[in-house]
Amino acid sequence: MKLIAILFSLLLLCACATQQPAPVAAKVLPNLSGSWEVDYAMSEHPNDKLKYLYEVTRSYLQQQVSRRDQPPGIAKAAMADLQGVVDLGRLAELITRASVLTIEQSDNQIVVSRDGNFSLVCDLREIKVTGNDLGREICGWNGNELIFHVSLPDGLSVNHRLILSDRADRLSMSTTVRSERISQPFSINRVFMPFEPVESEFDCEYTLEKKRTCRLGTSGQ
Amino acid sequence: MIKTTTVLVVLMFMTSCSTSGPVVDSAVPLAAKLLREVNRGQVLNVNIVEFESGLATEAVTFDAVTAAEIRYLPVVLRRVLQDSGNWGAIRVLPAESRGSELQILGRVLASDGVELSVHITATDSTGRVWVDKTYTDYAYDHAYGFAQASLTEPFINLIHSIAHDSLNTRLKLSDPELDRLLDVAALRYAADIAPTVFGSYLESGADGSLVLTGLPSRSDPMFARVNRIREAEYVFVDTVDQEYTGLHERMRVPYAFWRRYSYDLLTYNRAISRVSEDQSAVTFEEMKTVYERYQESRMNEDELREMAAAFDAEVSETVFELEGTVINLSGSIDFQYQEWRQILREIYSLERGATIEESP
Repeated sequence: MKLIAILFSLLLLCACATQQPAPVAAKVLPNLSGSWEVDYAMSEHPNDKLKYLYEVTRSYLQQQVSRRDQPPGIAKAAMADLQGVVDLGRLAELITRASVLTIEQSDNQIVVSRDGNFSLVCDLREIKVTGNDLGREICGWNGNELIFHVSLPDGLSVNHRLILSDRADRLSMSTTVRSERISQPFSINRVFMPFEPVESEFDCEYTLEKKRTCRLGTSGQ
Repeated sequence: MIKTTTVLVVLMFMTSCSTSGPVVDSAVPLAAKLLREVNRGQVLNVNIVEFESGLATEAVTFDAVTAAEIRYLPVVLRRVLQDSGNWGAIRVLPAESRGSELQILGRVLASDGVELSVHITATDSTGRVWVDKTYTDYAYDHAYGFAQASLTEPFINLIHSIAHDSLNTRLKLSDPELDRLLDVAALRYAADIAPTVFGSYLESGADGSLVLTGLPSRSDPMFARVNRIREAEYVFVDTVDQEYTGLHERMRVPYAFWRRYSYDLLTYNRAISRVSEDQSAVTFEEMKTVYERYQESRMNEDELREMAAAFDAEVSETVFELEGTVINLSGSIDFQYQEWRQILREIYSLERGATIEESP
């Protein structure tokens, strides 16, 4: 149901876009292709953000409790919810660990490969839902932003928003994790900068049995 | 049926008594060898065309998995038909071939690890439909209790049903009818290359199937030439077939794991949906488990997509020597196959000093 709502929102956004005066030239979408590595100086650090959030919210709740006009049950529930947000943050930290993105973009498709995580794949020819009962995805351009929305069981969802800077020298990937059972989402903004990959001496592959395994020196053979 | 069983038993008895005799080719299962002895009549070659994805447009699925399994399932069917010993050469092709004696087309209608539904059409060279049926099978948890070393196909019963139905039709045909199928297949191929020369040997019957109006002379040099070209095409097709076999081997483990995960999750979610709507606080471990399950399935899907993409783009260059001419083919399997067929037609036309004929 939520997915349908998101789909409608995306369609609505597209529909709204058509209400504007027709552009003289065809709209050129950003080209995200290339290899990108994390710019740590410009990226948010999940742990710092979590600590800040935890301290600020905890002190606010303590103030609420000290006022004594709040029933103790509400404060307890609020603390449990705060723990939930912290948990969301820990999950967001796991999800955004990739330090390198390799993006292949064509007219039909964008594949965002992330080290240590699955690739985000978007079919640009049509907006459609992919996946199965393990999780469902929908993606597409919203203006200059490329959005991937992943809906998971138990009301969990992950939203990735990729935005290219005007000078195309930075790529921002904002990841928001939500749970229907926690009052507020948690977002992390990671910034990537382009780099020229060198041919690796390692041949790596991911298998379910062994996870990621690499062999040395086979690529040159 | 009783007769066949009796012959089988006698043959098995004879085999068991002759263990000191010639070494049996262990690559062919014994049952297949015995059946082959029983079915000594004319054998038909079977072409299985890469399946199509017929998933409903509103169906939610992983494209990469679909792209991989339409190439995986034909190889499983090929193996089952091969092991039965009832058929001649069985090949997997990227596209339909007009020279097929029996051609099998498949359309995957549903595949989610629990359910597999495939529509199969098997048509002989005359156009007579042998099988036109949707097969559906459901895997139960026992089918997934595999060790990686001995992976089994959870939907093997479905594949066996297709093989069984095809064989049922085959057994109803007399030897002259089978001979006719072979002749029609050869002439359809010839008519495809040289329609003006060989097209007149075939016409449509009242029921729409092709009927022979005659046969070229056995010594007809043009027909002999076409047959040599057909044999050359088989050489290429066998190379293509090896690519499918390779893909099947590489896919066996990740595809089995994908089905396993998909099956686990579907059954898990169905069980969950029956449990009360518990809105208690969610823990980090619960959320992590949900995400990691999806992550693993998607990483497995990445692997399948890379295999499917490699199959399309990185098929190694194929080099053939055809009667003194070296032919280099590159590109996707489908592209190489089309190019190869075009080259064969050109060679034929050049030898006749004619321009290439267009197929009707």
